[in-house]
Amino acid sequence: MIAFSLQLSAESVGQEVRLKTKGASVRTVLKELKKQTGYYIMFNEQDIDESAKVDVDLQGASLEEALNEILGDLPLQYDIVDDYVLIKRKPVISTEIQQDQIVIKGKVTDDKGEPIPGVNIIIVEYNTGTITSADGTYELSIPDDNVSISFTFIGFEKQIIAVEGQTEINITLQTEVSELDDVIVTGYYNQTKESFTGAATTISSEELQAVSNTSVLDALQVYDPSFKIVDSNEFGSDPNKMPEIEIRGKGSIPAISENELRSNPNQPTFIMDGFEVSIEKIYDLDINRIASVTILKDASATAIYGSRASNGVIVIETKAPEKGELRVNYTFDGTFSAPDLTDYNLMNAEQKLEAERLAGLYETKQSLANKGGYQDQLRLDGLYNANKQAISSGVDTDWIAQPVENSFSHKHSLFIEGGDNIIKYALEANYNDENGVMKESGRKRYAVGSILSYRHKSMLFRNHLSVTHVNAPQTPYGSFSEYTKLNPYYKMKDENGRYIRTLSNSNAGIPQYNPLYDVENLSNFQKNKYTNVTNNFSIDWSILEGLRLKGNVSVQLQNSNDQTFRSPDSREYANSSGEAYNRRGSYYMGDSEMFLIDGSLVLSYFKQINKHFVNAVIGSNMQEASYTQESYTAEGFPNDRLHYIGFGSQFKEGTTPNGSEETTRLIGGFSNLNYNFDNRFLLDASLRIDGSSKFGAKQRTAPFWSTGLGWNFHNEPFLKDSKLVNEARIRANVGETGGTNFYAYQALTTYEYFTDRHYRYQTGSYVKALGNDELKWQTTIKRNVGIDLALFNNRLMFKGNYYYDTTKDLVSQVTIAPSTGFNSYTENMGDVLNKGFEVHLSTTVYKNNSKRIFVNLFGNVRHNTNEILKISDSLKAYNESVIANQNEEAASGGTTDDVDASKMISGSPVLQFEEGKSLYAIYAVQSLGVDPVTGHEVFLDRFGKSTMIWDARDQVIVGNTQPKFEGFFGTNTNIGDFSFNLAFNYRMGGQVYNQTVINKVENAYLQNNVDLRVLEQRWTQEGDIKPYRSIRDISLVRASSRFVEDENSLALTSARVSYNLKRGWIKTIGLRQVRLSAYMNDIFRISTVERERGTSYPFARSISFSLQTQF
Amino acid sequence: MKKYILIIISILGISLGSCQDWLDVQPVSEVSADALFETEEGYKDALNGIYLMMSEDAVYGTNLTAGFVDVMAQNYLIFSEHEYIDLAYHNYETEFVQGRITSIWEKAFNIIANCNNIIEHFENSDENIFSGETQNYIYGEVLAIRAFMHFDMLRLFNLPYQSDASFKGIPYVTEFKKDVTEQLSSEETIGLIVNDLELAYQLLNVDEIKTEEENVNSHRENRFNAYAVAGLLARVHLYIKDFANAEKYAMDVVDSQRFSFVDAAEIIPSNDFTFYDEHIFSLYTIRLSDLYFNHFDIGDLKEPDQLICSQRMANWYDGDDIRWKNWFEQKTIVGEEVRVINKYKRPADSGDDNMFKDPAIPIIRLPEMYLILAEAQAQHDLGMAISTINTLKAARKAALLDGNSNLAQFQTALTSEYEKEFYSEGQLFYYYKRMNFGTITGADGTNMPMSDSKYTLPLPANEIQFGGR
Repeated sequence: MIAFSLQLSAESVGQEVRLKTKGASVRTVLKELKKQTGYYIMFNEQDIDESAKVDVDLQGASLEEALNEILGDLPLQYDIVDDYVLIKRKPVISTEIQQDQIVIKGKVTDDKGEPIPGVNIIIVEYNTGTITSADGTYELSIPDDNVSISFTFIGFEKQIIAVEGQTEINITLQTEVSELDDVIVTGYYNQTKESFTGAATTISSEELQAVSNTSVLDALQVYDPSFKIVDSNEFGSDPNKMPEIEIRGKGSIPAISENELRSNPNQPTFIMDGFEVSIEKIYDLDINRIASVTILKDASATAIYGSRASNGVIVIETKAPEKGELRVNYTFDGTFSAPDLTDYNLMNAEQKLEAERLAGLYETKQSLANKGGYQDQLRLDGLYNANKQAISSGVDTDWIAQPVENSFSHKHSLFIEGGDNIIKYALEANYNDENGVMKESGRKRYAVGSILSYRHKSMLFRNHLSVTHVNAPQTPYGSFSEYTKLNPYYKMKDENGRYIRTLSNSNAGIPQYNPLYDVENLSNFQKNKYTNVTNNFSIDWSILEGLRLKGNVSVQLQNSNDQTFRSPDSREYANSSGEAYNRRGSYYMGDSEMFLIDGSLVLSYFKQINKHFVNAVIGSNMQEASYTQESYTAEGFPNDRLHYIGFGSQFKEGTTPNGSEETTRLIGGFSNLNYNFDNRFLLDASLRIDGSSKFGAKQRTAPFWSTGLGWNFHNEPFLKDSKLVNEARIRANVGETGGTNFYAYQALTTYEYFTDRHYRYQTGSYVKALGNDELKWQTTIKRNVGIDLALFNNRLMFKGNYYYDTTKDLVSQVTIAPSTGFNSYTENMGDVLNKGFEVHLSTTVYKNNSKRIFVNLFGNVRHNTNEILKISDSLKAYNESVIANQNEEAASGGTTDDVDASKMISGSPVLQFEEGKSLYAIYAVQSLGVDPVTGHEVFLDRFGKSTMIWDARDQVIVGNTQPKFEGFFGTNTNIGDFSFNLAFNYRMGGQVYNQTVINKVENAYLQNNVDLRVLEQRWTQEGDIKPYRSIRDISLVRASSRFVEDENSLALTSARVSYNLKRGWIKTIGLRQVRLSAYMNDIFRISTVERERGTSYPFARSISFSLQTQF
Repeated sequence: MKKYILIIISILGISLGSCQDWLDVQPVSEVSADALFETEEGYKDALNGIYLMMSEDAVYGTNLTAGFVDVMAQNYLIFSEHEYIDLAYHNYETEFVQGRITSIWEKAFNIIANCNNIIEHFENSDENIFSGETQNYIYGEVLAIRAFMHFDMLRLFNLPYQSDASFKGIPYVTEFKKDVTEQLSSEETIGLIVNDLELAYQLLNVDEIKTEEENVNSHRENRFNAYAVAGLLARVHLYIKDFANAEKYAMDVVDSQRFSFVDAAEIIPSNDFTFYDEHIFSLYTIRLSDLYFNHFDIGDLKEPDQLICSQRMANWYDGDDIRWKNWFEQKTIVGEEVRVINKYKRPADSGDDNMFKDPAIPIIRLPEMYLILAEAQAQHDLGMAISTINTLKAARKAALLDGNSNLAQFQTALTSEYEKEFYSEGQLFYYYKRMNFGTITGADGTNMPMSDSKYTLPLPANEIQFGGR
């Protein structure tokens, strides 16, 4: 179509042109000319045929001479205006043109009345046209007056005018605001970036796809370091695990009692096309459908979401159909994933047996003097020899390789669009078959949808219907951790190649079952599915110039179903007999339904009077969400094949049908005023009043507000024409937002009925909880100052923010005196502070427009400090009870041999709340290391003395899990049709509590396979200086600073190569555009901490390919 | 165009307007208090719920009848592995005992809170929702239960009244709120209890139990009826040695003729071990079988939760005493012969339930009225007192007290009757405490010195910590 080559040559304008070409295309020659002279050379691509060739030989020619020479016989003429060379067709006087041709004249100006040269004017129907001359005027011949002409110029909004008999069309082009880089999408309305005083990050679809072709959430964090996916060491790359997200740190106290929290209290609010959606919806959304994502972080951006804004707001806009003839976009993505097991450092068969021997597992605990002891020793010797023999016969089973596989996932996205000014339509379809690296786990997503928009005069109606179905089978192999425990000297299969059911009796006499036997022979399964139907309808009415009314209604229905079947032949039923035999097997069935209706009405007004710009918005929204769920478990299945709930013979013993219901309502009114003077001084103010059914009758509504100031000093006269400073803005704002991620009925005093008894055949009810009429909204005061800079011809971009967010009146359970009749009460308590900064820097280190080469480097950094400002007495009491519990457990002893050892707190640190300290703090007793004489751990007590006795009261803060600095860096490089993208993630400072060392080294249960460090780094004899205690010590370790390690890490999050084909041969096969991309995700990672990652589900590395086509 | 703007503004105005009602969401799986108390049925359900909670193990289902308090009264043989071993020696500091104390306290005050919520809703409710005298019934019963629960807490957690009536112990909670109610002296608390009971007595003046029209199917004896209030008033007045009032209220009950002593011949045929016709107030519970099977249906091994009769009772009863004949079973445990209470005996199969009297835990029984009457009469007319106590003894086929006995002999007989009559009903400990005996007979038959601290349970730790006690 139209190509502008906008280039500012760094050299001074050269007067002398030296050119010598033979058989070069005119376009190439013009590019070279541009390079030499530094003039902008503009032309309409249709005007200069690609095949047009020219031979020139110029030595020291002037610009005019050169142009005359180059254009030669072509039907073109040129104008030189300032730095511009405008090339256009010579006015054609030709017999081919019909008699009734009409000539249209006019002038194109900008909103300040200045003429715009070089505007492309095209007859839409014929795809021909011209460009404006230096004074903004144009002249165009049209074949008939039923045509429309379009006016386009970079940086301005496109305008299409129907000619309808006019002969003079003067146009004022509006500065474009729909360009993504220049607008902040808040979900309710858009605001120009120039006038915005808040901190927001907008990421385009292109940018997202430069990181990932499948996961939106993973891609987002690369661009905004404050958007953080909390690492799940347990669930690794499980495709069915929703990520946990935090924006600018934790603002809530985690549930300390059995608080009925359904969702993560730190989760941001997701808004898609103006409506609130669940994280699941975003997780399952096809990345190809996304037009842009905006992360709103501070008050000025989020105050319009009032009570939902505390944790930040993520606004996602999906692609709208564009008019034109029918176009089909198809994208194929294929991903190969491989499990990343490099973090596992397990023993091989020989090492394992040696560790067992050293730990004394083959020495009887009874006295050899008596007969029983002697016989026991004989048994152990026999066992040792049997294992030894197995090893020497070559048994060394790699158990962890069994439940995993290299998987292939594929995704197909189809988007068909088209239409005209009146009606635009699109059909979308998506199939995504994602397969996890644990065998048979996966997530299949099916989505279809339609978008229809219809314009009637000044009204635009739009409807978007989408249906998503997700099928998520879990792996039948169970938890990955089970395989890490199996001893390598066990044989997996017997001589006939069948899986062995009972592996071997360990020396503790407990039978070890082979999980593979169950997988192979039984039909155990666990599967989830859901279907979501969403319909969004909107009306956009331009009432008057600058006055718009937008109304939206969204209806969402989601049905989910979870089923888990355990075969009666599963190993947990192996010893069932008598009555229990008939109860073998279980089937869990859970259904839930979510219905959400959301409506909003927004009136916006824009007015410019001289240098004053005012944008005012007023709106309201109402939302009702209801959620019901029912579940039951049946047991007593006749055999493995009858895996249908109907074959269950009864409810699972001790269970009854379960159900819960929750309805919440929210209503809010909001307004926003944005004033800007001369694009220099900016003022933003928002106010919202929200009411929610979740809060006490006396506190049902709450106001939220924000205000911000900004100064665009690049628009000051002294900088206006500077080529050094292209953009410079400082901004500051403050505001109050709220959070409502809580159980719906906690503010009410409610009654529940006794269902298991009656009083003389009459029903009875009791007070379930003491309501709190005074329950207040949890609010967060957000403060942000920031600076945006673009320097050296936009070669260096800098964006920095400093924030200071205090969350007040945290909602949590408070313990109260039981003489009130109750033990706890939901109340506001405690304040938390999150402060920190985030910096984003990007620079273009090399740029060559003519060769379409640019090398762009980016990097960002985030730092957050969390501090508890105030806590209530009940939280203090909680700390005391934690310490008491820990001491009690420590006193009760317990050994790693206990079956229940895994259920104990043991070595894990327990969260405590202390004013002035962080929610990310690690509490443990200071360790002085392992005593070389005894092999026992030595602690430092609270009086500064060394001791061998662990006491919970000696616990101090020994680390903080929050890194000092973390972020991403990488490059976006383009060479011709190729582009290369790399994104690295780094983390510096901050500690982790190494659970692997506890579970697999120190508390290692040696009947199972464990970490190699048991053999290499545990104390075995007097004089050993080893980091880990005696291999014979089987007491449970306690939270100690010995397990706190500094974590610094670097990982290659993503790498992409893509090749863009826009022209050439593909057109001959009917394609408009093709893009091929190859991605590598999570390919390498180095860390200072050696621990097992992905304990229940391993992490995956992936390589994927993407093919995007348009035809 | 102005017209449109007006329309828009009014739409916005309406949608922003008063939405308080719309925001008032009522849950389905539970009922908000305000919705429950919109109907008479709701009030009835809430009251039934209170009776159901009173029959839970934490309070009258076990702890305050057959279990905890009777262990303190030395009614059971507690061997060294028994869970109650510390409690039996009145050591209240161990974790197990503390746990039980906490559960008693929490449940009792939870019941009180449930009462208070009903009472508070009476103030705001529309009287038209009630049919007949229902409001008086419910209000009267709830007030009486509130007083009853507080009285038992006072008897457990306050110092013996004889020792120190000004001891500040339990709070008297009359409001449904999260804030702590201040502790009062025993004297003040008794005052409030009596106030509540007197009001309840007035309200329950309409009680059908006082009339000829009483419907048997109403089972007023399973509710806090007018006579139960009178009986409790007698009990409370006796506790503070207000003998005149104790005598008056006890007489109200006895004179009514509504309750009668059990017919000895009918006990076995109808499996009536709790002497149902004597129940002035008892808690109906379908869980009575749990109480029996959990503690009294013992096998031949020692279990840490079984309640075996103490050795000291061996010589208590005369041979023909119907209580001796009907309440105890002989069993063998680890080769030793022991006796076990079978008052709460239930059929092993619920299909045979109809062969037993209704399952109900007695809370106030007729014999106590005779004993209160006798004790009060003894203050002015010993002869009358002896004849009153002999009425009970005769009904029990026990040897009568000699008409010429002196006051001390009468007192001994009185103590003996309390010991014999209320086995596994939880009243004996309160008797000892009321009398403030310096020494009682321990479960093994030896003397056990008592003191104020042994008679008084400590407040639970969470009450001290969060109530600022």
